[in-house]
Amino acid sequence: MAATVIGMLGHCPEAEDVGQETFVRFYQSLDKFRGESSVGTYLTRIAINLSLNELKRRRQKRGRFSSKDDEGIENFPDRNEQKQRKELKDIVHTGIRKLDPKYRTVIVLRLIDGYSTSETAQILKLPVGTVLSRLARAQLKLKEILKPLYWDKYDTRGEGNG
Amino acid sequence: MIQEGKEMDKKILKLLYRSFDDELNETETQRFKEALRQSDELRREKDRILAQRHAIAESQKPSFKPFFTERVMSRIASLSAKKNGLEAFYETLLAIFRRFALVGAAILIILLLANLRSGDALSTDEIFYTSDVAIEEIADLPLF
Repeated sequence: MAATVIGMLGHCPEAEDVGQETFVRFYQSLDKFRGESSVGTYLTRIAINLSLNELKRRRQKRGRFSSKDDEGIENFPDRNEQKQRKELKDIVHTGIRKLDPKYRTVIVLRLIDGYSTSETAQILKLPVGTVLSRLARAQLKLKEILKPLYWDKYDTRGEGNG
Repeated sequence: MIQEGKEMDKKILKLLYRSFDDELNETETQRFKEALRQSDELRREKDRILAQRHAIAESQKPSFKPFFTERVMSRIASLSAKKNGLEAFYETLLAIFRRFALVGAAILIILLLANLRSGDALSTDEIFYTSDVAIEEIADLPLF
């Protein structure tokens, strides 16, 4: 649950609120839960919807259409080896948060939470084709965001990290 | 010819992305494997995507602040207490109403029986004594 909510909203007080609200809403809707999906899927669906509501609220507050919750990472980190790993995580994390909510959602569910494509489609109530399409686009967008650091580093090494 | 080449690249790239998240059919798998065999760039791109996906998965090791579970349970407990309080109030109201309803129904039945005993018919006129009452006299009734 933390991975889903923090993946969507980042580390902030609102993420904690959304996390709490997810479980409270689940408790309140227990009598309506028919077991058509697993408990985990049901909870995740609530968490995603609440996270998207929070993102919408932030956008309205800022008066912008984009979902740029963080300042841009124009200045790339010091290439000191000791900080590199943490910085890479921070950069990737920030890159994810720069994605549009509909792309961020599929990345969080599929690549961070580890749901399969069909489970992701079930949670979001979208066709599998739409999820695949959004995953591909999200990864392309992330590639552009992360390119200056990650791909250059990758090319210098000339080997896979996979 | 160049346009056809670009179209082919787009299709192969699409297959590449799909290969991570979807099952390719036999024809697609063969085509993809052949493309990988023939293209260094495609193999490098596949490795880059794998590395990116791995970096994304590894970037998040999140958790809520300590005692998150306790805070959630505390909220649920306070919701339950509130709900129980409201439920108790409505049940009390219902119990009071029920008593009034029963008493009212008993009075009506008694009036009906008395009416039946004194008169031969049980019409609404007889029940409400409207047969002997003119409209002008209604205003004089103690009800008003």
